[in-house]
Amino acid sequence: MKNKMLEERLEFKDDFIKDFVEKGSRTISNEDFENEIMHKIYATTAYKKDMASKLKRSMYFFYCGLSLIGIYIFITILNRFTSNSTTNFISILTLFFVIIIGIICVGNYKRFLHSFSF
Amino acid sequence: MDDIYIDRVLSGDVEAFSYFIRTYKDMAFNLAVSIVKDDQYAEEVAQDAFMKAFTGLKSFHRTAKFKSWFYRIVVNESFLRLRTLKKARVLIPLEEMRDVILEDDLKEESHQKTNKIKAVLSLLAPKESLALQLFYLEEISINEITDITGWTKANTKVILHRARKSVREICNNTL
Repeated sequence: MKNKMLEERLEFKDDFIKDFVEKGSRTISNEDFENEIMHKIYATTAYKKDMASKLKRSMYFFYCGLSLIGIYIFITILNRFTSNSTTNFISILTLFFVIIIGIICVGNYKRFLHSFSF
Repeated sequence: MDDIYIDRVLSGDVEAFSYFIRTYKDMAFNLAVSIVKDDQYAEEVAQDAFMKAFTGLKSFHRTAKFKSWFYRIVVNESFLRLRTLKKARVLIPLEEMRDVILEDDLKEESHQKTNKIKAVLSLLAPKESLALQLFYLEEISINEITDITGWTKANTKVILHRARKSVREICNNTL
């Protein structure tokens, strides 16, 4: 492997071009370059942290709300079932959709959270 | 050394990223300027590349060197910027640039040689000057160049040959 690399180096060995490229190499004239990037990085980090905490809070409330709705529908169905009245098909269907929507939304929340984390 | 700083950045020490900026800023700028041919745009490209490297550091799997991974980001960013600039038609055509070099002949002697070298390099096609920078300045192997640029090995060799020929031709015509 090293021999092959040496062969390639020898194949393209050209002192004139090497010297030419080295003389033409540049450095960044902006002395504040590093600070500018670090400033941007700090701003991005702060923004991401802020967004992640907001998302987490929002996800928590969403989860609570969805759970309450789910429990309510479940109790309604259970009530009707125990009181011998006919179980409403729509209630079961609603419960099913609430669960599906819940899974999808929580998945999306997790995706957002992942994109705002380091 | 890079790995230590990568670990520090990933564990939340944002300040540690300044090591990468200090180490790679000039080469990032050189690569960018060889493609976009403008100092100001090259600086912007380098900044964007550093930002992308920072945000994408967790996706760096360390199968390759950090240097190669980062240079690939710089090269991709540069070609992306070049496409935008070409669409906006803000780049100086090569013929006009050649005139600038010839006009420079009449100007003062100081800085002339270095300026001419820079001008000759800026006359090369982006791919050619990029190949020269990577192979002769950074002394990166052809295999690594293929990783960074996405070119095939044969294509890289052809570009290198063509670049050397172009430099000699431009030098004969202008210097």
